[in-house]
Amino acid sequence: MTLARRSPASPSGGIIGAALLAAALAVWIQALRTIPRQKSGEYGLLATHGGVLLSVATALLIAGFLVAVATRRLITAAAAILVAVMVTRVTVPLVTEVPIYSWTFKHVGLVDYIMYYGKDAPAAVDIYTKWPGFFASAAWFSAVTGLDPVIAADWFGPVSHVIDATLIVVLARALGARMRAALVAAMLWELLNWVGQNYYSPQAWALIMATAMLTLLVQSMDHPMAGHFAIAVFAAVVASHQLTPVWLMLVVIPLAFARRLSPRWMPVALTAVVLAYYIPRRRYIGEYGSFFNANPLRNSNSNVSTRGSDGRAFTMLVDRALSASMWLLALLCLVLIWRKVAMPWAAAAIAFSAMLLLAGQNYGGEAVFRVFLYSLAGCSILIAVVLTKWMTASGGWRSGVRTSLAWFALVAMSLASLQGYYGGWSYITMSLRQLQQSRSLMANSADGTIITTIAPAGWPERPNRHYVRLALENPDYDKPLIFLKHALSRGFPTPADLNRIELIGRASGNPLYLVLPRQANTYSDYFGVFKIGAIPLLIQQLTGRPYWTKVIDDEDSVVFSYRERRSPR
Amino acid sequence: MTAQHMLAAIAVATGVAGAVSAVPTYPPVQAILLLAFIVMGPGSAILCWLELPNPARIAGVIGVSLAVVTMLATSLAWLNVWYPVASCVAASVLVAAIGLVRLRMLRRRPVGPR
Repeated sequence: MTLARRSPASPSGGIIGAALLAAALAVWIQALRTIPRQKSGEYGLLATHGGVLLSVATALLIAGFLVAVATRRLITAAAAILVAVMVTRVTVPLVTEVPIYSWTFKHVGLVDYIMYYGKDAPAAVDIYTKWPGFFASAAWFSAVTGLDPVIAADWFGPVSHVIDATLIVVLARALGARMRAALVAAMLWELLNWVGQNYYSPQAWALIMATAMLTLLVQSMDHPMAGHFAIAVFAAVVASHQLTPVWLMLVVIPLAFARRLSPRWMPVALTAVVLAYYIPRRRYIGEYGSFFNANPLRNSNSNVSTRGSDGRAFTMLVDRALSASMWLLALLCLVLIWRKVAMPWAAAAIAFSAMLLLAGQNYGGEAVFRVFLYSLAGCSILIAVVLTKWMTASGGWRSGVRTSLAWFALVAMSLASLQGYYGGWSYITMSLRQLQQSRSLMANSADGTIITTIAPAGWPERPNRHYVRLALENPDYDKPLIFLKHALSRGFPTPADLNRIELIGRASGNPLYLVLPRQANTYSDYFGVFKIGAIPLLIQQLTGRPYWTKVIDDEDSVVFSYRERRSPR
Repeated sequence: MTAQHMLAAIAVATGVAGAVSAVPTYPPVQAILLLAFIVMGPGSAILCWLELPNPARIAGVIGVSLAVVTMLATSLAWLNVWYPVASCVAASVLVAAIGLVRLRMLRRRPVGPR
């Protein structure tokens, strides 16, 4: 890929760019002071005072970046990418007490188990244990350094963003982009990444290796040794995550047909690695859902089907508009640079092959998010090449006008992305007290105990190794009570619903804990899951029933324990 | 300084960082040192022997390093021989030693026109 004619670097551009970045950092620091004091509503963090400051900081850093790119100040442009990671990602660990997303702690729990017992958890516990690459690596890291996996989880996101951004620059360079366009690609990848998949998770770990592998693949034609290393990296991806290798195969196959790979037998080798790993585990894949589901429309649905609040509808609209704009823009850019670039096949395969995943997998309602995540690298590179050329093709006032237009477009897309990332702030954040309570409840629960919630919000799920003990005794020990969710969505809990919960508790012969964190209300309001007032009424009804005890009752959570005491004979 | 010199030097530095990270001091500092090893150590020790263009070299260093650590940690858990500190020190010393050997060989080799 080639770019515009070279022009000398402008010293004033560097000074203006650096000043804008400094201003962005100053505004960001003020945002960090403001955010923890504010409650967010259904429109998420951006609709608060702190969120507005975050948006201003983003607009400033984009201005600094574009000035640096337009004036060829590459170091300033690279610094702007770091500032973007700080503003958009480092904010999270700095303003929260514990990592976001209650499901992050499912990963923390398995890491804790491996650290303590030095082996994978039994296969019956969950599907993660059959793809242990990330969990074993994270446990190894925490065991060597003594760093609590919760703190590691908090900082994993920003660190993975920095590594990913570096690899996007490298991938763009491998595809023939000049350094300016490569930096623009990395910035686009960072700013448009709204899906929030780069948390402490196997997919984030696998994505880093996958991006490195793609670069090796692209360069394998001229340097076959790079292809051999790509196979080795692929093996580690296969052991870490179920879906990422499937996507990589979808990239490899068209490249192989286009004869853009070396060694030529690479697809055979990759297929052999996948089959060797998947075939012995096919039983577990089957247990957790169908591996192939050829219904693209159904597969593109998200995992929450309700319309929800106006805030949720707005955020979804923004997310969809952003995703569609990015894909269309990337497609347009591909058409524009076709025949002018070194490897259009490779760029197109990396950008669009992930969409084929929707033809075969729903992935628990997450396939559509993964498709965006996987296609982001290729789309960012395609858009960056054209954007950089367009911005710098002419000098003088025209270049200034084009840079200003690019700034408007990038700010609009970035704010849309931030809305997607921070839109669920009211329910994805938790307190340290909730983590400690969840850890303590799990550690002190006897085998056979049931700990159930009604929404995936506010209560760290499986935050330590003790979940394995409970799950081995009862694999459904923390499954949500579906009938109760349905009852609360239809109206208010009836005595029959409460009797049914008690029946489950009596049948287990062990305590049953019903966890009702504050965030369950906000989750319900956001997604429109339950009738308004249903959860407070449930709390009120349980408070008056025999054998139900409030074991936790504070401003963050209410946890009921149900245990029927048998009367002495 | 050629790219191979640089990668060999990185292998030595990250190998030392990895070994030091296993000494219990202050977990955040240990974490930063081990992170340097995980991201660059094994990959630089392997790629310092090869001639590759810059993008493949950087992606190879990061990708191979993460892959080696993933395979190492996964093997320890699979084989039920969970000795994270010992394995970290052993891997770090190996990486640093490979880097030193490579630096020594490169010093002996006359640098010709590239």
